[in-house]
Amino acid sequence: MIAFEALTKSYDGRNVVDNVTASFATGTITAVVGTSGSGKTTLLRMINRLIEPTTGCVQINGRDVSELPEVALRRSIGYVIQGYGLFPHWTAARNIGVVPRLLGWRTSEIEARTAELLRLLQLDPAQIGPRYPHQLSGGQAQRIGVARALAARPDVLLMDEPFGALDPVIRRQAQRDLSEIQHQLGTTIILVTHDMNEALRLGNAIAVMRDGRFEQFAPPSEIVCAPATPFVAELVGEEGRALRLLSLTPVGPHLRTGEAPGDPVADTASLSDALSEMIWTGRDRLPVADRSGRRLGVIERADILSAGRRAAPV
Amino acid sequence: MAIATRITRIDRLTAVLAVPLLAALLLSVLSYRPNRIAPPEPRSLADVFDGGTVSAIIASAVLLTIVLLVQHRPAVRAAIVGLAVIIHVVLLGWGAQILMEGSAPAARVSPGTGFWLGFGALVLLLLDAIARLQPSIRARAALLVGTVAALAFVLRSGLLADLSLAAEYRGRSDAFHRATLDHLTLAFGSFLAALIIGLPAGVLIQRRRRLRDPVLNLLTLIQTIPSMALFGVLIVPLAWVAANIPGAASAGIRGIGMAPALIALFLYSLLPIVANTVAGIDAVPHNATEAATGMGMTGAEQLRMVELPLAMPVILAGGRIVLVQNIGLATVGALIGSGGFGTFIFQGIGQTATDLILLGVLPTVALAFLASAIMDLMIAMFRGQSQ
Repeated sequence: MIAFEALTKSYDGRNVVDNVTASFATGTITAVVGTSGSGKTTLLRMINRLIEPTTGCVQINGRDVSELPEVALRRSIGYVIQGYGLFPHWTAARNIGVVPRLLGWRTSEIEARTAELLRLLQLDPAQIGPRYPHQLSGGQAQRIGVARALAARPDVLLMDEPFGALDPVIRRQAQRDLSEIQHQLGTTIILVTHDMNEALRLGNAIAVMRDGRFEQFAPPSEIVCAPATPFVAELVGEEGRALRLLSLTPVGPHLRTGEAPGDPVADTASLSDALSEMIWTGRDRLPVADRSGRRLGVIERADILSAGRRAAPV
Repeated sequence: MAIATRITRIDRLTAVLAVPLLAALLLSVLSYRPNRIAPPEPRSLADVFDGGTVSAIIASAVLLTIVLLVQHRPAVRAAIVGLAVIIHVVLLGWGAQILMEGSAPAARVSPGTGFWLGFGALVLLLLDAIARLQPSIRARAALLVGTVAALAFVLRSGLLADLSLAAEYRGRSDAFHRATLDHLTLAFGSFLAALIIGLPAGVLIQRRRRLRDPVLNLLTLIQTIPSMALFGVLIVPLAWVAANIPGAASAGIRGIGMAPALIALFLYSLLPIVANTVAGIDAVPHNATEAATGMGMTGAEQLRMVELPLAMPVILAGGRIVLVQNIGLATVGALIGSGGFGTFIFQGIGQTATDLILLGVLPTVALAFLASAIMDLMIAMFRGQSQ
């Protein structure tokens, strides 16, 4: 667990991060959203001590990070920055292996780990490994940046606008891949972004930051249904709020027993996907199947509509 | 229309260089002196060779020009011009031999305006053809080694033994070898010392902003002192050191000689090395250094693994400036007895013996070219990885 205790950072008497107290559960993704200058990057950089707090402290699993040796702390935390910061004079494989090398792993272990990570990120080790960063596409470079951060099996991964430089199509794919990997590895991720849609898509919890403070720190559905301040409401956007809520809710919990004709939807699909399918194919109920194709039941249009209503249970 | 296309297809560089290339045939190709300080007498192609040979030379030169005007493939051009350079040098040796036959041993023959003009034009054409081939780093290295080997072969073969320069060398081969060694010690010794001191100094002032301006200003100030003045200024303190510090004199430290020259060259070397180290590290992409720190590199690891390798092309560019500058400046050191090729230059000036001056100048120029080419290769190797 990562916890902030009255964390404050001030420059020239101005509080860039202002008395933030919060904690993030192990194994979840927390998205910190804010406009530029809101203090979100400063907050992130205090976790791995690139910036030292003015007052207050950061704790990881109950230990104050300021009492841990800087270098060892940073090697135990994955770090992905905007633009990735790949070392241009090293191959992709060597970039990925940098932290294990600093930690003194054996060469054979580093090579095995590098290949494993490349495969995890759906890159061919033999093809992509020997390339230099300037020979990689944007999406490949982003994945190498993530692989490098994960190389030494950190429990915590810090990401500062990791998808900022990608075009929309590749960005969606990269976001899906990150969710998938986080699911597999159980890493605790703190992700800084200015994009509320990205935060809603990825975050188990969302912290909306403004002028160095958390305006709201809540699960995505609560951010959409019950924005705490006008600023949060503005970031979420009033338009299409119901549809946005539906897009955050999976089909699974709203299943009914029964049968229906036609192609099934997946149980992991969102209610908005299911509704869209109903409108498109002119059906009122859809069969639901799990990943292996086993029928689980049906989803009803009326249930979807009530799930998207303001008072709907979350 | 057809004519216009033909004209645009004509090689422009050849069109320009055809003028000196063909004019060279009409000028004095060799110059002859009854003894080494007598004024030179020009010798044209017809004075040196018989009628048939002259016609053959003129015909080949005209043919070469025409072929180069219309032949665009770089590999073919490089091969043809390379062959022409070799023939040019062989003709020089042969012509010198003809002139020396039946002359007194004191007579001297040296290359004339025509030879140099033609040689210059051919070398430009050759360099152009090679540049158009866009050789890989490995090919460039091979080409460099090949050129040096060819030069060594020509000098050892006795092909040019009848030229005045060879005559000057024969009388002084021991002194020449000593001068070569001294010159290399001066140029490379000061370069190495400047690297050992300048690299850490550059890293230090790159990190400490407050030190940066004072240090760079001081080094710039040193750079503005004329070399003769700096050599002179160093004589007094070094003489004092030699006289008063035990062991200094036996270690070779004296007011004149190698020590002041080495120190002066070292001082001149500092600015390019220090300034380029600072500029090179400054130019390392910011997000690479941020990633390095964020992933837990110590300051030393970051310097060794990220900053210095990425700054290396810029630092080596400073090194190239230093080497070329030192190889040239080392000649001036001869004035205070440091040895080196400068010895021949100043002796030659004293005796008004042009050949002796050239015996000092030509190896200096060749050495500077060689050092510059080697540094270029190293820079390309470092750049090749990251681009």
